Amino acid sequence: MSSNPTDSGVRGTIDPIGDDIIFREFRLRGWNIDACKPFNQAQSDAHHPIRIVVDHDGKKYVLQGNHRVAGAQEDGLRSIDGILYTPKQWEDFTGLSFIPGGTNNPIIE
Amino acid sequence: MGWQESRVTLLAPGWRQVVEISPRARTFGGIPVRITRAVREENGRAGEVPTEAVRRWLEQHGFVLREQGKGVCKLERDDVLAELYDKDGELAELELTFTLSRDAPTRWEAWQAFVRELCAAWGLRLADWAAGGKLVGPEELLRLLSQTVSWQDFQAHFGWPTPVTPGR
Repeated sequence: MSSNPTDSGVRGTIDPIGDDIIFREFRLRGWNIDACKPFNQAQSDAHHPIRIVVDHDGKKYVLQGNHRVAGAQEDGLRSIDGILYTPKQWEDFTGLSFIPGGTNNPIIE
Repeated sequence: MGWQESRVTLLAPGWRQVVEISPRARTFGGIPVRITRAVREENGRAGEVPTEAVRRWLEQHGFVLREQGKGVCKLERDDVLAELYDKDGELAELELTFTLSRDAPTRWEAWQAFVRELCAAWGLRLADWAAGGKLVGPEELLRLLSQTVSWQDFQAHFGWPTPVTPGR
């Protein structure tokens, strides 16, 4: 489990290159991605840990830490840690049910 | 950006936003993630908006310095985080992150007023990344914030009204 007693997630590892990673942000900022490199696990955990929801197909949705995961992808890292949730655990943690693509995706030209 | 946050970018005069397609990162449905960067306009003049002056202005408006890094400083006031990105003493872009909560709509008017005042003071414009980085006025704040999945999740779960942009 995570160190937060109200947090139902479980600490785990993702492979930024090999896993089916789905970013929840449509837009990332280049400067922020650059600032996250090289990836620092301790720094990532200390502030706002990476939070990932894993669905029944094994897709991994980045709910928090999109820039860090994108930076890790760009650098070719094969293993970073975060807190992993099932959709139900995410709902328990946040009070929001997990909807993979959001409720009203903006149109992207 | 966290699951309970929504964010916009404001550009200083003489800067524009370029939008690139990420070669690897994908969002829902396989749609490529867009990567945005601020670049100086070809005819942009240096030193249009001194970063330090904007920082002092924010502090005078109740913001408190939270972090100072190379080329960026972060200030916070209540549910708003301001990140100032500096290039040789000149403000290139300013990122505003708003913390969402069930009752956030009661804050919309205050958020809108702050961004209107900020833009008026420094000539900043909001970047609409979904429109290729087109620059728009502060009245578009809520519409741009509502483009994030986080906002849409909160809107659906808590029955928020759809933001209306004046004049649209």
